[in-house]
Amino acid sequence: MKLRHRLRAYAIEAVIGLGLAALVVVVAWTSSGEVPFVYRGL
Amino acid sequence: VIDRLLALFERVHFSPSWASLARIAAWFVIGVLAIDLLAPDKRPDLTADRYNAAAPDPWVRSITAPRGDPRGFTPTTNDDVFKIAWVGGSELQSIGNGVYTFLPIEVRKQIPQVDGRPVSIDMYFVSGMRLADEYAAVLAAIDNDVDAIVISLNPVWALNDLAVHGWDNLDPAVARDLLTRPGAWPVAASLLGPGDLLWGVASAADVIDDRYQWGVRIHDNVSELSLIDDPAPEPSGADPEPLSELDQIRAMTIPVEFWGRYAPTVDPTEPLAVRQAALFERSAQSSPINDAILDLIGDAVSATDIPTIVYTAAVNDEVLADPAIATHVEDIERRLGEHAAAFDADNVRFDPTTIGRRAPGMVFNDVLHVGELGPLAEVMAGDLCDLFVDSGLTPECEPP
Repeated sequence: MKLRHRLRAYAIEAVIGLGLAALVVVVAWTSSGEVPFVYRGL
Repeated sequence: VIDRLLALFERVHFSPSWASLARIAAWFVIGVLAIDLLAPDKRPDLTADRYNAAAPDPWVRSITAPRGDPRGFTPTTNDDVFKIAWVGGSELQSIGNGVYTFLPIEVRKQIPQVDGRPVSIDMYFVSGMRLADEYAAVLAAIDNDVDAIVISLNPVWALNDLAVHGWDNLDPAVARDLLTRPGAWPVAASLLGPGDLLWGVASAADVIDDRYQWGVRIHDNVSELSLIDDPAPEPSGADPEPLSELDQIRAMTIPVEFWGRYAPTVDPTEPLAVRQAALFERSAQSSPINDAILDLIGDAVSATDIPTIVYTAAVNDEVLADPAIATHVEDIERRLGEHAAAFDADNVRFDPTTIGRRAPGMVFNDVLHVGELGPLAEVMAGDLCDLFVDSGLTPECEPP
């Protein structure tokens, strides 16, 4: 695999991992208490 | 969806592998930790708590977060104080004659110091506390490394299977605590879910643990925002239509509201006295889940060396004087007494008899809720002083 492709793959992995972390925090903050958009099923 | 994602990845020359999955997981952990570092820690404001505002005391306070907050309890510092954890529900309150106070506040006046340290009482006070909530509070108190524990068993609810579990926001912490208590796993499987365990473990990160407070803040900021123009309906002047029976059930928030109305033991149209008798009768019957949780509470405190008193809250003298109900109360006391083995430890005092029998002259607002404590605080203070002396401590006991 070309170095350029490998670096791009690493970047995609980082974006997915960090994006999931942000998503989990947002879901956590909006799934508790008196929040209107409740995702308790998650 | 997965096929499409893989096709998309292929187009940008990205071929996912197990190694890339591991790296994504690593980035995920790094991301959560980074947000945890960047977001400031939140802490519930105990002085804003409505019970603390109604009965302010520098040495005694409720440490219970609002219903829905998974942090559950916010203990105060143990530094340079003798910390007592007092676990109980609404039976701890005394409301009457313009006075609002708590039993622990009045007891603390009679035991200001132990071993030269000022007594500080954290009340694990849960309004509408049911037995599973009580177990959660006891586990939290043990985790918080307190110097003594006082547990109030509510005779109406301790053995009543109509409402075992009221505050499900306490569940994540319980799920995490029970990982190391395999004896409690059958009860955990009955009351908790996998999500509770996941949230409980994830709460190690403050940014997850504080999610209720963040959620309330977000709610305050966005609740007025809407893309939908939805004006309030004009008042028609006519009485609103009464809710259907199904809608009334839908509006219920905790199981006891349902069972209070549809309890199989009594017709809801019967007079109050008859329904109260039925409530006590229900508590006097066998309930395996309550029995199991009560034993777990006993096992938990017996496994520590923390001086502990487990007492049965007082019931109205009029209840005890009514032969139709008194017999059920005696059955409840007998059934509680059958759990003595679980509380059999040098550091634990367990009394299945309602403490009101030793504190005549109390005034009640109903069968259980106290209007005037009468001699109860003195009786409790005496019991605590005896326990502390027997535990090798030096309490400063001041009679009223």
